[in-house]
Amino acid sequence: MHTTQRAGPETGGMSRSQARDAEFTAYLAARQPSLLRTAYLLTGDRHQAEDVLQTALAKLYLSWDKVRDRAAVDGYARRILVNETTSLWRRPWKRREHATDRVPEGAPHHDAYDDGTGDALWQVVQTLPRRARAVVVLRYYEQLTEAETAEVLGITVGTVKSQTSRALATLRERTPAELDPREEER
Amino acid sequence: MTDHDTLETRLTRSLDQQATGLHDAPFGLDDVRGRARGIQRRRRALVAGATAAVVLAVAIPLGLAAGGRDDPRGVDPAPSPVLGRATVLHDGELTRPDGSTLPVPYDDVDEVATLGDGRTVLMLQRRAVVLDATGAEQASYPVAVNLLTAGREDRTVAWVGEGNRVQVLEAGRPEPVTLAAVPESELGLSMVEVVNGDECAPDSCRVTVGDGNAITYDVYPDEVVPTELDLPFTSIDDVNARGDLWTVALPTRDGEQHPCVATYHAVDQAVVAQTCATSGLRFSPDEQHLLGMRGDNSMYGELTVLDADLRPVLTWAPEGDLAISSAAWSDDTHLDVAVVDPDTSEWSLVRVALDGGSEVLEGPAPGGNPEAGPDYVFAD
Repeated sequence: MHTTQRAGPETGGMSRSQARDAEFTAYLAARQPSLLRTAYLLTGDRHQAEDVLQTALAKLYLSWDKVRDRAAVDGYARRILVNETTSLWRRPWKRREHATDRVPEGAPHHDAYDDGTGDALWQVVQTLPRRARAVVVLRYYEQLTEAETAEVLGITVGTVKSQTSRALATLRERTPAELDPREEER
Repeated sequence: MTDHDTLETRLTRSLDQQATGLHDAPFGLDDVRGRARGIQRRRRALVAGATAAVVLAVAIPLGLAAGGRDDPRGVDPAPSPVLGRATVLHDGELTRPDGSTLPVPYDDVDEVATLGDGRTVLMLQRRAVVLDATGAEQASYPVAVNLLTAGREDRTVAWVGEGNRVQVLEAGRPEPVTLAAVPESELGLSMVEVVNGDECAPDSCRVTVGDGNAITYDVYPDEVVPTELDLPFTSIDDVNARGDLWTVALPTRDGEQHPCVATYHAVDQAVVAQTCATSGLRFSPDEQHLLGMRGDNSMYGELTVLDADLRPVLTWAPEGDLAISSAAWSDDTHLDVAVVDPDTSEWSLVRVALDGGSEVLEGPAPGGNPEAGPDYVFAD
């Protein structure tokens, strides 16, 4: 059954669903590039990033009316995005995925000045397990606090601390010696 | 600037550099709505499939009942097997092995452990709560790490308390014994690996702790001693009833996400058997088998049962895209397994036999986000 709703003054003459879609479209325009960047850092692959972003946006669209606090939408979207990314292993085509030292293909080229340190560290980040990579991206790219990171990932602050610590230890172990800050001091 | 700060700064700069070039918005409203319709279709199909599974599970016992002793058709049914059950917390109620239940009016219970005197210990956010046998809160203790470690045969429960001081609550003793404080670890949070022995009297208690990367200290009431042995493992997952056989995680090699695991004889100080097929080994009650699971994101794709020599006996996975959230031995030959649909957060409790057979005990029913933790919390 198709129903139409009478336009109310709060929707400026549009039906509620039209107003909802307009609001969501504005959100897409404003926030999609930022979410795409986060998705790329989480997956390390442009195609996978777009896949999880589209699914995350679709889930956000389905829940749009439930997210009453518009200021909280970004956090909600980020949570869906991270969940989508860290759950990739469950899908049949990723079921055998495991942490690897090989760098995924499909990384975009950047013109930003880089003395080699950034790319080397990024390559090591991509070898981290997805959960650990999510913690790293949220803490050091999104600049979330430990409490905010815990909220997004649905884990305790203690787990964020331990995962961060282990991820940093792993990065330190796997960073090429010439790029390790400790080597510069020797 | 410290080494730690330098690495973090470089990490932030590296991530910024990698993401800088991405400015586009590839999806319009129609793209999003199209994917949303697909998700809705899949959710409806999953609900329909789940309903069919419940009907099948109910139909089996009804069929058996039709052949009872008073049935004029005279079919003598096989006696119902006497099955144990794992202690599990679900939906605010703790169900014990004898079937008795206890209301547990707390949200966000991370872990549960039971003591032989009828008390229950819950790990909540930053505090351990002790319930008496009726479920009333007896005491609450602040903790440094949200982890409980149960001792052998429900004799003790331990945690790292305020100020990194280890606390051990023993069955029959009203208050926990507080041991010395564990030094801060650079690599991880200190956690109790094993409570040695059956008792924790104030003058004779020894607890071994680790930080997830190594076994670090033996902790006594008044001192902390670095572990002397060069132990070949990084953490202890379970201990048998005699206390001499441990299941342990071996150090991960480069590129490995999951560690190989082993059984370790604590008296002989030797690895008995090892496997890289699964992780987190748990002894069955009769210690003839071990349960292992390997996964990520608080979920597991399959469970594996091994014999005492760590040879595979059973690999079991739920159908389709369902995942395992948690599992525990219910008796010598059965496991209780919490199964969840990650997309819809529909939860079921399934009993799995070592012969591979399975039966849905509860659900599917809506529940929480599995990535935030299991809806069925089995006792440690």
